[in-house]
Amino acid sequence: MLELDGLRKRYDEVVALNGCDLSVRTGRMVGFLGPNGAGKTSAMRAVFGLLRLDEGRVTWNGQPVGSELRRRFGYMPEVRGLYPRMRVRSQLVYLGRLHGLDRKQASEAADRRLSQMGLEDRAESRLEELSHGNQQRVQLAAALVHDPELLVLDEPFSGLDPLGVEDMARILRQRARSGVAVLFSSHQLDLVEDLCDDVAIINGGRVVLAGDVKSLKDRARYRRLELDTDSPAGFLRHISGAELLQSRGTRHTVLVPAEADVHDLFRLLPERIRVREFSYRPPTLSDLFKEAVA
Amino acid sequence: MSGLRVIGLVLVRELRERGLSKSYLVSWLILALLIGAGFAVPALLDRGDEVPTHRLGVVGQDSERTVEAARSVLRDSGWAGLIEPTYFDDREDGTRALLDEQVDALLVGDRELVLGESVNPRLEELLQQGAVLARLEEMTASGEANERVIQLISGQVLEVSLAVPRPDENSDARQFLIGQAALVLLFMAVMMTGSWVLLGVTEEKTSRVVEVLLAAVRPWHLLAGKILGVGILGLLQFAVVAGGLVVGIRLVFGADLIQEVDAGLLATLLLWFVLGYGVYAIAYAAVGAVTSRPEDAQNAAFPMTMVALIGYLVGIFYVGSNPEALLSVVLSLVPMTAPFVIPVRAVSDSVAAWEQLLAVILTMGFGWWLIRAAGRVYAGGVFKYQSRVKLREAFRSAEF
Repeated sequence: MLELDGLRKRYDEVVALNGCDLSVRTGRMVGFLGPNGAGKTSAMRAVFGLLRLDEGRVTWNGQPVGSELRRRFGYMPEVRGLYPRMRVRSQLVYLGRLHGLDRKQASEAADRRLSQMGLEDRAESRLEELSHGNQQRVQLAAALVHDPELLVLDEPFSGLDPLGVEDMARILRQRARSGVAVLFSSHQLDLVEDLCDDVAIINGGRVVLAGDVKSLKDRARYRRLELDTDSPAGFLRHISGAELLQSRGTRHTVLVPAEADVHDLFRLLPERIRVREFSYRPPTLSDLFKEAVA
Repeated sequence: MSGLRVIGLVLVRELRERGLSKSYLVSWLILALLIGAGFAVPALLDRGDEVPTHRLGVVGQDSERTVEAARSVLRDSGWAGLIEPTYFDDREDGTRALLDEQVDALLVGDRELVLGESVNPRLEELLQQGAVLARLEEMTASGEANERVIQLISGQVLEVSLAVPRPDENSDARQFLIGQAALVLLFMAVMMTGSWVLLGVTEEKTSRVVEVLLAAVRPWHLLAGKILGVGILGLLQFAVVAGGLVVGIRLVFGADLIQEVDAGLLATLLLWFVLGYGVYAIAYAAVGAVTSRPEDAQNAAFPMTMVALIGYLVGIFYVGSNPEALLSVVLSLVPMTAPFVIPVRAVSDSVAAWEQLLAVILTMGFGWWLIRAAGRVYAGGVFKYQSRVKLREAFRSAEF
């Protein structure tokens, strides 16, 4: 398990990490969410020793993370980059060897990853000759080539088309199922909700909400009520503690206290109003996010 | 995994990728063309100044000894030239050939020499000396003269020796030229390979691969592997160019430079290439880390290139002729100029062993400090993607 414990980092006047705590268990996929500048990239870089922490420590299975342990981790930075003029396969073999594989292991691993990404026929191409999507696949292959125990990916889905997103998601799921701890950041909340077991939301350099996605939703103080009626939203003011989230014509979205009873909600609706659609469910990840970073 | 193994992996990648890159192969081609042109042009220009051939008409068997003796004088004199005899049955045929300018001079028997219009005056001199020698040999053989007379005539009465050996001016001039050539090569090699390091570091930053690499390896392993790999490629070119020059000079000009450049001098040149390259490559790596584009990198490296250029110019225009002057001694001890000053002084044997040892220690000490400073600058600059970061700011904000 990866643990970030009380990480603090300040750049002059800017506080990047302000007591950041985070855990990523093996075999779990953790979505790392936060507004721009919240500290996601800094926290991820801290795992790889790429910034000098003012305070705090990073451990893997209880051991402080040093250069030897880091070789067993895979990293895909936010700003993508490999050698543009180097051939794809050579690049993967080289990175595999830097992570401790011998020549034979690295060659086999590179072939395996290229096959998994559907890039066997581009193995001898130079990276710069590939499309953006394929370059992204190679970047992921580079992070996976040495079969890492922990995978840290900064915005892995950005810039991908829907098919690319689906491929990337499939591969990440496979890795998590095989016991790898996966931490990735994203602004695509729906995707994170679909894909992740756990989420951690960071704001102002501190993790403000973390845990199992379903539990977090269940534990939320409110529920999401969506109505399609033939009436404007005025009648909703009768619901105690309700917060109108959105109202478009006859469709209204309201957050209501979690303790509210659905039958009571029905009873509050005026008799003459015709209800075409009614949904009552836990908040979305997007709702949790907005509340957490508000 | 050991640091050495990581350095080895980075080094091998540099050798493979850069060694097979178009730019490196093109640099070989340019060097080959330059060396080839360097020898072909003078050789072609020299074609009009061929070894002079003295065409000598010879009449009568008595002339034979004089011709042979003149040839031996020519050989012993070290002058370039060739005596090419043409034999005639009688004086009349010989005179006709002389007037038709088929020969330059006509030797009749062992007493008479007729000169043509375009004769080289050296031929007369050679034949006169040859005739004297031939006559003396004849007189010695017949007992008309003895060894003492021969010595007297040939002016070898006193046995001459020198209290202090006279310097070999030709050798000194050649040593000076070797020093200058070595300095030009050294400067080119240090600057060229140093700029490869500069661009290599900038490219890794520009392509953003550096973050992937540094997540797995330590920065100084990455830098050391790069500097060593590029250094080997540079050294290879340096050695081949130096070897090409030596062999080329020998083939084209016949001068045996290999005898002039002794092993100690070669070792000195090699040592200062390694030290000079090391110091400049480390500094270039730091500059490469604070820039994000190759064109910015060249601009940022300008002050350092100027320091090297000053060292080189002082080396070539001042130290060569004033190897023991105070300025030469001082610049020998300054790590950034020593690589361009010491080799020039070493060629003329003007640098004491202790002085060179001190210069090596100072340069290595400076290199050690520079590695640490460059490492900090690298760590502070490599993740800052604006076009240029100040060295001081990068040094201050080193992150790992």
